[in-house]
Amino acid sequence: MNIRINVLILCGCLVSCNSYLDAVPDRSLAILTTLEQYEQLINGDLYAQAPALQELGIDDYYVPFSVWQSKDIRLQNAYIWKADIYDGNSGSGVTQDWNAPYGKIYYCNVVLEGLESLSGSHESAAFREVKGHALFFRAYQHYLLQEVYGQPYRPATANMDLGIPLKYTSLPTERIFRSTVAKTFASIILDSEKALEMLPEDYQAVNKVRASKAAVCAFLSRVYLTMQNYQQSLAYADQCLSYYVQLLDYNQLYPDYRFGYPDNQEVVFSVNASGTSGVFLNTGIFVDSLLYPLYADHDLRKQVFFLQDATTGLPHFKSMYSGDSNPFAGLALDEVYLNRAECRARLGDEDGALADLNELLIHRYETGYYFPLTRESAGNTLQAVLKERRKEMVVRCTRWTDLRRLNQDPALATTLRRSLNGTDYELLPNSPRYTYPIPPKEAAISQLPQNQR
Amino acid sequence: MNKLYSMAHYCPNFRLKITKIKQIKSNSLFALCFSLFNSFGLAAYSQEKKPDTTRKTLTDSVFQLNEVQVSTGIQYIPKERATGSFVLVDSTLFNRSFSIDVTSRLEGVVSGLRFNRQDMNPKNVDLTIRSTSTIRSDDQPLIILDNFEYNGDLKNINPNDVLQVSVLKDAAAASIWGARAGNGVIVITTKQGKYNQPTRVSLSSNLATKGKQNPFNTPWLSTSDYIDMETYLFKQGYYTSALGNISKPPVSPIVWLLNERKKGLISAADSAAAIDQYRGIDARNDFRQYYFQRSISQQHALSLTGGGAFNQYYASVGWDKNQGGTVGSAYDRLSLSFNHSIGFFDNKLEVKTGIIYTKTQDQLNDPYPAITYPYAQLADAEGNSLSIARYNPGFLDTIGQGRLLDWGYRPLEELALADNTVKTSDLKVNLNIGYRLFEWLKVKALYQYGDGQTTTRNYQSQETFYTRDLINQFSSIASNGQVSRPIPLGGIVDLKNTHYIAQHLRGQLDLQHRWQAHELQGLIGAELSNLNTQANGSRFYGYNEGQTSSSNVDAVNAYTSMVTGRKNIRIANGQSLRYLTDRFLSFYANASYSYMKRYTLSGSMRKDGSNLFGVATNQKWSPLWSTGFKWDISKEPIYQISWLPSLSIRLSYGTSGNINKTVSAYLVARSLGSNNYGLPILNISNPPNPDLTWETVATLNAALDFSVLQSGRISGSLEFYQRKGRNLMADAELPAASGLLTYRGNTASMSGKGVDLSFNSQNLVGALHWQTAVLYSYTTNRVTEYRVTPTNNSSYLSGAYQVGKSLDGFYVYRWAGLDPQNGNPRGYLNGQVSEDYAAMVNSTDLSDLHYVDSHRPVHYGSIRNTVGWQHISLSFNVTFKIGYYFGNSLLNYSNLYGGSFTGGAADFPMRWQKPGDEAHTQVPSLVYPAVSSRDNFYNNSEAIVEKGDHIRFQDIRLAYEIIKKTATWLPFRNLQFFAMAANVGLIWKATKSRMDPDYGYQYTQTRFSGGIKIEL
Repeated sequence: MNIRINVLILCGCLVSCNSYLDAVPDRSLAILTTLEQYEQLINGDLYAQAPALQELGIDDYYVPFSVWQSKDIRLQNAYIWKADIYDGNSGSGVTQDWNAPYGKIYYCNVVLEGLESLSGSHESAAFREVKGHALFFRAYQHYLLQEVYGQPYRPATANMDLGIPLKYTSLPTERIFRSTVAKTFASIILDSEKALEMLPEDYQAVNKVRASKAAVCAFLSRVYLTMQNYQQSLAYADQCLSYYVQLLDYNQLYPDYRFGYPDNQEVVFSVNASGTSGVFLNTGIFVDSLLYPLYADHDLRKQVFFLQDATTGLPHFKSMYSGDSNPFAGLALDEVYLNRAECRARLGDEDGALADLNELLIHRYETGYYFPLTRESAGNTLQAVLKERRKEMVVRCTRWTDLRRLNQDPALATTLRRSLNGTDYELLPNSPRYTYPIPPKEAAISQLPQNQR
Repeated sequence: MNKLYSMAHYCPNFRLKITKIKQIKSNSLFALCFSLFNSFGLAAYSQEKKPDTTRKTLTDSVFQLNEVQVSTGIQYIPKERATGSFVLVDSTLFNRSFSIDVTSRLEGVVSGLRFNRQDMNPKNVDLTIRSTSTIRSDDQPLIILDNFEYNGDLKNINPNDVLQVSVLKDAAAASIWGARAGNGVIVITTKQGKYNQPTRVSLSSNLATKGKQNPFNTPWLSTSDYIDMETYLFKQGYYTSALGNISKPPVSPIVWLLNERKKGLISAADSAAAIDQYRGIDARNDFRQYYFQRSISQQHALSLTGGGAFNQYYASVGWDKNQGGTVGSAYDRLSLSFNHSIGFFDNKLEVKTGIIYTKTQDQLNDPYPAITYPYAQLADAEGNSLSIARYNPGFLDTIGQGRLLDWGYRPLEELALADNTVKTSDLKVNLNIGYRLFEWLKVKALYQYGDGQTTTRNYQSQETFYTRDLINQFSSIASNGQVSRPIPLGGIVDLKNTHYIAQHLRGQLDLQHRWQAHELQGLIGAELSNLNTQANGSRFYGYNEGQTSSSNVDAVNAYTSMVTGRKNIRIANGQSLRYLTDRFLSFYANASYSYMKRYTLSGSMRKDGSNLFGVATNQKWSPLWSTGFKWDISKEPIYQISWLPSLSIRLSYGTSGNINKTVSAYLVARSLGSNNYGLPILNISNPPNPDLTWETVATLNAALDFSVLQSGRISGSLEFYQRKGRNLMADAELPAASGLLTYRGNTASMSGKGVDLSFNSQNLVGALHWQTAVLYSYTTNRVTEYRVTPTNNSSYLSGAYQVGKSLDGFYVYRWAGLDPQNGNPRGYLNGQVSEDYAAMVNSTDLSDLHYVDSHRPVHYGSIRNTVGWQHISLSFNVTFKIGYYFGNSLLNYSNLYGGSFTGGAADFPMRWQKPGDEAHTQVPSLVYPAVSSRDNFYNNSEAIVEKGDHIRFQDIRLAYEIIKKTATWLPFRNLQFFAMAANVGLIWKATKSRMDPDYGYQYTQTRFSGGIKIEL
């Protein structure tokens, strides 16, 4: 009798055991099942940790020898455009520029795959927004990687040149291979165009780590500019400015002379580069001696961007556009104005180009000291636009791309020079060193063709 | 009569206990439980029926008829019929050494139990039972306290309440614990009362002390050498970056002086004189004087035990007070234990209740003085606390014009101001009911309720550097001089609380039947366990101790840092909340049959289910089983060997499991607060692994038990085992482009084997007696399957395995000595001597690496001799660990320049300086700037490998015992004294390094202890 009861109790246990064992072990953990959860996944730090390797190679700054010697291997080698920037190091310090963006792409793919499996409407505004954002961010990170590790976009050879591995699934075992530059850009554009359909028009008032139609257009304008497709770049710049027009008046920054954190009103999409804390804002690092003299006296950028060293009088960086200590790697309207001005200048609309330039610069000069450019005062309009681009986009993660693009035109080519303790280094236009090497272990695991430098 | 006698004795004592309990602010639950016990006590008291003393008691009586029984936590097994591999540590052996905790007492006395001390931290005791059998999962044995898995801090068990410890080593012994038994099981059995025993009172008091830690044992770059190096680096411009950094990092006084000199602010003579003053300073003197202290431990225990015909009880109170080895550290523990059982209806029904309550207080008021140069001074000659820079001195001199709080960091004041306490309370309530249905069948229900709480309170008053620093960082000064402080003045309090409630419920049927020469024993049961943990943390700013008031802060907006001038810092709100649930549902059964006590056959089975996150239900159920056989050859009628009176063999095979909670079949995300725009965030914590299964460990055990000579004066056992681990978790390297760096899956298998020998000899018996106990273990293992492809040599250096090599092995670069031309360290690249460190990292030629087998001892054991004459006994234990290697810390120039002056940095003066030096040193030459790949090569080369083999004089113990039987004048039943020295020293070590292979440079002080025990 008693045994039977016992057996009954045990059987009862067996029946209910499955629900007993379904308890969630940690309530802060979640298996993703709702749209809100996927939304929270893209709320995370997707906007941080963009690659900064390209910024270490640009000509906005210089480092004295003694300071250079005390810096980490990544800065030391990238600064002199060394062929092997890794030197046998494989820590996150030197591989983060490759690893972190792919980590973000993984998130985007998890979200995109997860959304497909969700029940409920796939047409709701909320659903489309989350999906659009994931598509956009995947394109954005692919673009950042392409500009560091992919060969420059050269219209004639883009079909043969090596781009980057493109990731469209979250499968960890998927084979990794490098696409061509043309395919890389085509995929970036495809994702962005899909995102453009899905995203809301304006998100600026609330949240600048969320993409909007304005952000996608600003991005596409940049992508087409990189591809030297000036009509498309112009069209997207126009479309962007049809959604959102807002320039930051540097007069309002007075007397603080600092950018707001985490963004300012002309930002359309906020992304920060990583791993350069203590590089650009360090007082031991100076502003390029050719760049600084370009600024006129009442150009407020001179005071907002830079600061003169108390003892040496040499200018160093004072404030990053991001408001943080890492460079801004996102999208802002000043860039869109400059894109549009350049496209207009190249396509023959010089008045339109100058109008864009004047609109931007009036916000940059001390009130009452800006005299709008005219065809006469500007001289060569394209040169004038590019000069302003140089002065405006300081440590904004665009200079490297600009050099890769502009150097293809011998008239606009620049040779970069460094000097350390009597040794001179040069980066010639169109040098293979404009493409950084892939981390050696990564190349070995997936047998990726390495960039020859 | 007997019963009355005992009842009367324990009741008054109880009252004494309860007042103690009230003093320690016990919770009401405790009181409730107490009343429960009391009512049981009264029930027993009022029971009229006379006991039938001829009848055997029906309890799981621990020691029936002097038969040695081992506990598996589920049942007691007579050792002579056990087919599995058990090691029993009885009360005498357990109490031979003195410690605050339970586990330390097992060191050097259990065969096959290895204490791994390679991480050199005495607080992290890492145990291995036999061979390592996992790579990435928990490798620690399961701990069972009495009947159930112990959820809580092991420090909360008072060793004075421990009766015995059994270590379950093979499948036949451990498989009954199923999916968690893969690493072996340690069962701790606490003391219980005994039926028909007069009340016994036992009082013990112990004292132990360990000498002050000597900071001069730590290798340390001398001040003078360090200053020379700083001067050199300054000339190279190394500090330019730090001096100009916007986060204003501190620089040492020498660097500051050199900078002042460079700027022309002081004269060359002044600067040189000031620098020379520092040369004579060694911070270790101050550490010895102000930071380290002698540690003192006191342990006192009082217990009361006894029983009548129908009841038995055990009650104890223990008190520990410890002063730690650093000023401000202390640990106190109060533990209460009471258990009681009553039999009803002729003891057919037995109700057993038990309660263990522990309360501890850990004072962590010993913040380590954060010094960044070897000539730091904690105090001046008068003992006044001195300041150490935590920011650039120039910044501190000019900032705030006196409007900010003092920004100096004075380590000695910090020691005095620290107020960081961890309090724990732990309650375990047991209720066991057993009813004997028939003579051969018993039904049991066991329930345990555990409730434990850990509360941390760290109060950092406004006087502490932490609080002043934080307030200042957030402060801003308006143009009119008005200071605004987003973090209010006052202290900061951090509260953390972890509370667990564990419930275990077990139903079990016990069967025991003897007929003629047959004996059948079996059980079947089910267990349900549920562990809920809630952890929360909160922080209060502007806390005023007197008024217990605090202020709200703005944790949303960014503020401008007073240090960097960047508007990017936010006030941490310090809030956290977690809920964890851990559930198990298990079914188990086992049976043993023996014939003529000559042949015993056993088998067991267990199925475990757990709420292991995301694992599909079918994977949650993992059946594990074992079987065993024992043949007592000497009981065969034909057995005639007179000098070998006892001989038996045992054979067992079975499987156990191991759980890894870090992986999941589904993609799992963790909530991580909110982003810069206040929106909630999820982060992916686990990629999905749909093929996930549990690790299983199969063990084969073959053993021979013997005793030699008619009197059995020599006895021992020899065991061989083989372990095969399957579906072990290993990490595969993934291309980073996949978004993940590694992928953990069931991709490896291992095989291990070994021998455990234990041998006891009574060399002399009589008034002068001499006993020797020898333990020897041999264990090796190798990876038999590894379905992960390492990319290149750097994969092996970072922990990849190779089939055929040990799980405990490691790889280093082959060493080709220093380059005679420049003192660069050299290795091999494709078999050629090379200095191309980058190519060596990326090489795929395994012959460029040197494989070291292993970092865990392959042979280990102990020899314990006890010599006694009448009441005096002297016992000493010598332990040995042979056949392993450890990694020494070597000079790393990047770290040295960064300010590291201990460990390998001390090798700096021995560096290669001129051709020829390579003959007598392997310390690479100085290069500036440091080349991290060169440092990395040297620090991971054969040059770090030191042989770990050593023989240690583990302890010596002198004891004196007087028993009333022999000394009638004694007012007590028994009186014992002991004096002991533990960790007496190394007798021999293979390495020439100053390091102790087990303890590193520190903690080698001998611990002296002494105690007295009185039994009434």
